[in-house]
Amino acid sequence: MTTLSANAQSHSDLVTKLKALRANIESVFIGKVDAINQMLVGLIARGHVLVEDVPGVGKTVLARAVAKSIDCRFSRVQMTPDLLPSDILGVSVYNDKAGVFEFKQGPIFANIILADEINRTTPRTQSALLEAMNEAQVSVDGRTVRLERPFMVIATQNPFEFEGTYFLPENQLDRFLLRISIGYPDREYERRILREQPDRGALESLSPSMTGSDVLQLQALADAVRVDDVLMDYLQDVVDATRKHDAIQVGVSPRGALSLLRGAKAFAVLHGRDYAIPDDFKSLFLPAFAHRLVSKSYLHDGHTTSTEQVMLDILENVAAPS
Amino acid sequence: MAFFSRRKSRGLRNEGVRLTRGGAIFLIGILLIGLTAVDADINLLLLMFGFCAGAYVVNAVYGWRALRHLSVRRIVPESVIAGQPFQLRYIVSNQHRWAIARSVILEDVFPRVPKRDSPQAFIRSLRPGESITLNVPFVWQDRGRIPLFAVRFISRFPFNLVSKAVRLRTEQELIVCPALGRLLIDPASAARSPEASAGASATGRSHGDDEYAGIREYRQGDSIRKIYWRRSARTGQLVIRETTKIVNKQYWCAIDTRSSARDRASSMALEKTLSAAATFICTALEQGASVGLVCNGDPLVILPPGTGRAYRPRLLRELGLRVGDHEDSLAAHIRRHPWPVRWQAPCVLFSPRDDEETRDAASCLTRTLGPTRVIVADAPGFAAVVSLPDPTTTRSPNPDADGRGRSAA
Amino acid sequence: MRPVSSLHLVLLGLALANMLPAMEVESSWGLYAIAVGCAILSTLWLQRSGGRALSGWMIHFAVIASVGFLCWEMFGEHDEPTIHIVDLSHFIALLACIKFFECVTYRDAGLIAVIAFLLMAISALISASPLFGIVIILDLTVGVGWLMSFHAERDRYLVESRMVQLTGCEPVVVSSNSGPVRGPAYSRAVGATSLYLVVAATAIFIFLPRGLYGGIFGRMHGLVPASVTGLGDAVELTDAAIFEDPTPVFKVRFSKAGIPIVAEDYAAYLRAQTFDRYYQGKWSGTPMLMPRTILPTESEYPAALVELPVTPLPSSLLKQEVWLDSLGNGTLFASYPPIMIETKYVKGLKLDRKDLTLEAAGIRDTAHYAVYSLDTQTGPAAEALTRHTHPRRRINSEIPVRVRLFAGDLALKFGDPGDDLQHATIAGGIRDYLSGNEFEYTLRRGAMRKNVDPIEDFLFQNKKGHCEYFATAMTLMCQSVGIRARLVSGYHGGEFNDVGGFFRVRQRDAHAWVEVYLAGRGWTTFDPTPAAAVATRARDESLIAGIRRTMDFLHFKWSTWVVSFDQDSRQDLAAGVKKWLATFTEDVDETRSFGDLIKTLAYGPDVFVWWQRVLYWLVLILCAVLVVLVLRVVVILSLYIREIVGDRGELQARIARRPEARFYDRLLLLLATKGHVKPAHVTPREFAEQLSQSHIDLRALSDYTEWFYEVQYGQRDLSESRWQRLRQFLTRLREDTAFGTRS
Repeated sequence: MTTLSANAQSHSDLVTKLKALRANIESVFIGKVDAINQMLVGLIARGHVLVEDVPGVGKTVLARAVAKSIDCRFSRVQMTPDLLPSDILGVSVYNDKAGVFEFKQGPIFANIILADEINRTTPRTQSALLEAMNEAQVSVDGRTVRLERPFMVIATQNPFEFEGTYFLPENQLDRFLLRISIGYPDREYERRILREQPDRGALESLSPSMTGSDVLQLQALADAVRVDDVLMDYLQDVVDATRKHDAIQVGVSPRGALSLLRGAKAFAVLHGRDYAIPDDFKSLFLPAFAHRLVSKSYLHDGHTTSTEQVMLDILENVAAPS
Repeated sequence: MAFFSRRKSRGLRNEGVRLTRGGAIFLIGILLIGLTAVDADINLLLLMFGFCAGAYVVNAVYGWRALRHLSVRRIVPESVIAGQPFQLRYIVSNQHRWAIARSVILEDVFPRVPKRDSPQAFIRSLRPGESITLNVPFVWQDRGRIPLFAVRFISRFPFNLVSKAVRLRTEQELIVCPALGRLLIDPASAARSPEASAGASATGRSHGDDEYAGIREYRQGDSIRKIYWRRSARTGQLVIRETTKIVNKQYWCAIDTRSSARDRASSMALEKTLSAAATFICTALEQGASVGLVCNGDPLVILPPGTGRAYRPRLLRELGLRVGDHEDSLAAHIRRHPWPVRWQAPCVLFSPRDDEETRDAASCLTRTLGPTRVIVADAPGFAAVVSLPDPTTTRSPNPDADGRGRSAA
Repeated sequence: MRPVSSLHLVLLGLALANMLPAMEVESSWGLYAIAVGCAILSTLWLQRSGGRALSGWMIHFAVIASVGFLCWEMFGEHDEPTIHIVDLSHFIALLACIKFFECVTYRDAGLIAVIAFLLMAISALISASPLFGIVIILDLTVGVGWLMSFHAERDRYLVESRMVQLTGCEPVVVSSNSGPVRGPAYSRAVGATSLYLVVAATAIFIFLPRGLYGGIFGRMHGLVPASVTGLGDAVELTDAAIFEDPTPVFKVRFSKAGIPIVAEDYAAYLRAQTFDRYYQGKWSGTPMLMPRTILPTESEYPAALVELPVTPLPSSLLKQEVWLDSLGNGTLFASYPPIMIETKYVKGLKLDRKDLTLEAAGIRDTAHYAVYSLDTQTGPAAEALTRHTHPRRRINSEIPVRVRLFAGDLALKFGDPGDDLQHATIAGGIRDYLSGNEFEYTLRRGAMRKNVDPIEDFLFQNKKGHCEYFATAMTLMCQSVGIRARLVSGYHGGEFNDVGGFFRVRQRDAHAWVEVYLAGRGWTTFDPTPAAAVATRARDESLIAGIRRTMDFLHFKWSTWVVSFDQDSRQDLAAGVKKWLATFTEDVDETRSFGDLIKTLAYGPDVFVWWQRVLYWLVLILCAVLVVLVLRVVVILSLYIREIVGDRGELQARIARRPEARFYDRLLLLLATKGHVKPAHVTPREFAEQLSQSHIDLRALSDYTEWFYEVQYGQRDLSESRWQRLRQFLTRLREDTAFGTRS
């Protein structure tokens, strides 16, 4: 039996705080609970999240809600085609008075970064961002500056835009822990939206319900979650199946499997458990794997939704642990 | 909607090799030859023994690769009638890269059915990557729910001395509906109870939804409003426009499934009841009427009158799932349940035995739904109403059992 | 099985082929012709009558007639005693003929196949001809293919008829995504199966023990002719046939007083061993009495074998220079009587003083020696020798009474056996009698008869035999009348090689003759074998003869390597393999590179001739197939064992179900009986959600599933109240049949 790294008192504290966090987010983001859960999983699992959906479903609202609910720095980068890497990382500016070069930090020096429409910017800028994501540090002017933890990048892209876009190639898609698809809200939720007409004000007036160090503690909790061997087998069975499927050219890499493991642990923590159950894994397979697979009929348009069907097919055919 | 499930060959329970009957007899002969050869030092006999022993080894070893990599998908028909042959469909594919599967016998493992009588099909050869669809006929005599667990592949290639079998798990469920017979009376007359007045409908007023059916001469008693004056003037004889009333025919089928599983006569009566009810339902649906179902038991089933192609299997499935062995009172349920006005229609009550309960239920039904006729399985008049195929005589399909009713009169 | 399909015709052909070896042994060609006729007639009959078999009474009549024929064959009056198993084979062949007419169903065809198999088994007992091998090859190719098709057809027929019987319609192949079939259906399978069969049979044939005979079935060796011309340690008159073996034994150059003898038809008698005692068809050699070791070590100088007071003249000495091709059993060959030996490659040479036979303990591969023998029976040297080689005490052979009486009568015709001086004429007369027209020289004298002494058989019944018979007859007859005689085995004749000036002596030149002790002349050579035997050895260069020689060679190989494969052959085989391995490892010692090693392994030793190399490759391929076969058997067995024994453990380890969590398995089982089967890809929670929504009774299933998760994955324990609830729920599920079936 694994004991938690925090003592029982602070554990229940964290649980309450999680609940408050979720309530906070739900107050401004009226939509699928799954999307919120997955976003929080990305946060607790120390991963980055790609939100891919049609415009106008609340991607930005969700990201901002999450950022606002955690007492940490938030920055938003609107990725335009003429954005340069230095616009993200920061630039050295010559300070006349002091006579030295000062490094002005770019928007990446924050805890939660919202990179809107990542597919509209040039590959060079994309890779600058992704490098920073990968290594959690920025090297500039010969120095390396570590990025502050917790650090999460929420990137958004619209999958149906083709003109003037540079879709992320597969190896870079791989760096995102989850790909969240928000989708249209249910009828009742939409009714609520129409009724309450939430506007910017509500979002701005959100107060944080958790601090950055709480998030770090939650992340540590996630590391300590107990995963049974049977669940590992299940994970590996699915990963094997993706590698051997007829319609898939490139299956899930070990990094992908590792990401899912972290995500499942975070999912368990999110639900207040210190042990993982099969449903934690099963509910994350699609968000975690669908964007890492390369199907044989992959048309280079960055379309990642055709692999969903294959993923569903695979899930149907692999025995879940019981 | 057809039920299907798919299972790959990994993780199956291998059934292994077994000596066939011919193989066992041959083995005795071979051992004798071998003993003679070794004992008497005859080399040619030893050579023959070597070939025959080699044949056993080859038979046991050759052909495993493809057999273990066969995958099967079974498609079960949506409605299966007891006593009528149905088709099970299997899609078998060879998933090995280069081995050919030869002389494979596909056998479906049915519970409590000996191997000889289960559905089988023969696949002569299946090349790598090839998949084949087989339609295997089968017939099942008992009503009820059949769980299907596995499909077995057996190969005795090449010498029929040793049989190699592999078992794949494919779990599905087959629901067998009661056997259908022939309704010897018209459903309309079945629904009409003898006590109801025969002329009630004749005095009923037409509600305007009439359909023109033709011209006939005026007879005494016809409605004067229907006289077609123009034609009458022309022909000089009074004629009327005949119309038929479009009646939305609706029936209720009530079934009392009280019986005891331990008592064989009572179970048989229940089966007869269910078969009669199924036959009635099918005949009525064929004629375009809507049929509703109310049936006691656990759980209570009340299906509102409905019509259409999709409704028949649903009704029959419910009948197929009925389990007797209870003493639930139908009348109590009828009394307790509110019945909307639009559901009122003539009713036929099927019951395994004629007793106080049945009469009680019949009167309840008459009060709440409409004129009720009781058909009892054990009663002598049963055979005049429904003719059912005899389940104990033959195992071959009854060619008349297709649910079509014919009027006797 | 529809009559006169291709399957049917192939079956008839195979059955007729399988009958052939059994019929050939006794040359029952009449019966075979009947069988062929029956096959043809039955085909026509079945075709005409649309597949109906013969009527019952005809079949019964034919069976009764066959039984009668069998009884007549077994117990009727015959001149020669019959071999019952041959009669049985005739009977079974007749049954096959009857079955040809009745071959309508699959079962009938199976019976004919069984009958053919029985006939092959019987012919394995009685026949030794290569026809058996040819029929086996036919069975391996055509027969295996036929069996496959037959069984496939039969299976298909059984399945379809069963389905028709059950339901009235047969299974139908609706569609398949295969393309057109290329090539014959079973060619690949037949090839692989035949290869496996050959390898398995060869492995079993070589490795099964021999020499365990003597049990219940006794030794049936007498039926099988199994020997070759050549020398052995004993002479045994049991064989029905002998095959000529062309293996070379040695080269010999004759010269007299320095002048080489180059006449092509010069044939000296080169002795190897002598035999004195005859007992029931066997000659046993006398052990060396007082062997004298001549040359303990190699020496360069000629050694005298016999000490003569007088030095013989060079012109009376025949010098034989012998180069041995193989080591043999140490016997040295020399003409009688050898006086001197000159060699430096032989050591441990032993000489029998009385019989003057030579034996060497150590001979090198390149053994070469020269022997000087006295070529004349007159002269002081010869007389001295006579005194030296006075025969030892009389050794008694067991001569059959009839032979003794006959010999006595015959001898009296030529002279008085009691008088020593007339021995020469008597011996000559006997020799002339035997080599006259009454007796025929043949290598194939036919099957042996039981309980009859071979010599009696030879002298009075079947007057055919080879040199051993003639020599034995003469020796025995001489011994019957008191003339000292002994059987000598050795080599006589040979092929003269112009180029080398030597005679090439082969195993087929092995010969047996007689030496008779005549007063005053010593041991004298007599050869009773008819002269025609030598003449037939003349080399015939025509094509037909060449083909005949090749056929004989194959026949010979078949006999030695298959029919008479015994412990010795196995040891020879093992020795050959070891020798090759030794040469191989010697090469290794010579520090060759790895590549060269592989090359030698793959290509064979350099000394190989081209056809030897082909054989070597064939052997390599067969060994590889054997290894593959054994591996596959091992793999299947291990899988099987693992299924029975280990897989359960593996499965359990995989699931690692905590004991507390086992209630979930029970729950699943109970739900399955109600018809709710959890598909494998659905997690327990999803399954519970599905069921909770659709079935009212199972509303609480979600809670129970969450408890299961806690216990199994969270490793917590359930409280007592929860256990209670669970137990209640499970009991209710089990007892109440309707609980949980419908919402």
